[in-house]
Amino acid sequence: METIAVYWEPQIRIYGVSTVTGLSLFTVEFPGQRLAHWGEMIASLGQAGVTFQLVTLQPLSAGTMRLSLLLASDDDRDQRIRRLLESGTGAGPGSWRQLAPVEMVYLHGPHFQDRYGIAEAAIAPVLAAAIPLLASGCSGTSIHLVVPADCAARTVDCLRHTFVIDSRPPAGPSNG
Amino acid sequence: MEKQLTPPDEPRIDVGGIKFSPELVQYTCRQVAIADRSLPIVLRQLAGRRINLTYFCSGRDGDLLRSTFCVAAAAALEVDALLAAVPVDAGDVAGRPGTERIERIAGVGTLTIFPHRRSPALLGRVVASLAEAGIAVHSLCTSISALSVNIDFPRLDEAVAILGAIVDLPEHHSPFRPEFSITQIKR
Repeated sequence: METIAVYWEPQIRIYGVSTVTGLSLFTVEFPGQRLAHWGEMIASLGQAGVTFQLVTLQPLSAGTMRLSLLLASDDDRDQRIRRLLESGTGAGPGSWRQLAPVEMVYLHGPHFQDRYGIAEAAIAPVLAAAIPLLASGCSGTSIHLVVPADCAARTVDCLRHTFVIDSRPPAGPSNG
Repeated sequence: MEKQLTPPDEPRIDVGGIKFSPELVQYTCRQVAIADRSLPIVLRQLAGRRINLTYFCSGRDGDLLRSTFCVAAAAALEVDALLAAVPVDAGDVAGRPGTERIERIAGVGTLTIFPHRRSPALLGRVVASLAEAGIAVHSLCTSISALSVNIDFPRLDEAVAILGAIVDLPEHHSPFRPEFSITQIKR
């Protein structure tokens, strides 16, 4: 059975947009065969009460993978995560890094996962505006865009060409 | 000694549901130089041909973007042709075929688990359990409430059986496989 939904939107309507500041983006690269180990490392963060804003896992070349964790930045928490990453990688230099502070723009909308052109509408304007896109995730009905400090407002502004955004959302740190 | 996936001191995690996608193909596209503008070109052409990306994520290799996306298996041949034709408009790599910067995995399925409650515990245990069972995780991304994990499409049922050791599903869970699809026919 197929259900057909018809959208005709010169600009894509959304349920909402928000920006979060004061975040840390941790990335770690590891051989794919170490994935179970890294799964356990991530689970241990949960036991420590850490919550995430965004997590992505991407394949790199030669069987390596990159895990990206976007978390609220906090000195104690950051230190704990750095220790975890160092222990998990055997303190290999260059195998993990932390970018902080960074900011996130988050949009959600109807049937984003079922509609063509959504990723283009979110990604292309950011690249065209030469805003460094540090990480992104578009899955389900969500779009997450991770950009450097002081770039979230500009990111929202350039998304106003493709999405219906009446005004800039207030920016603030995450409470997570 | 056989490894136990769920140690007795780790409680099972209640989830609201698990869903499967239809069969997909995953592409990972690597930007090869700062001047390489192929990603927005690819995204524009995919949109122009009304090809939906059910999944997209990106990260950075230094200053260069690496993007991973999935399309329906039925659209893959069209996407292959499109990607092969997209030029890399960077002086130092001019003339290099577009396919050199692309990795393709066919027969992928997305396992969507919800809600994740922003807790690394569920996410980490899902990843560890699948990997320990030898199920390749090709990529993953979180949304506001769901965890989307891309694995081999033929192993989706097996994956759910494995996750049964760490999650509790509602008693009357709806079918994992989609019973209908939503197709946007115009924008």
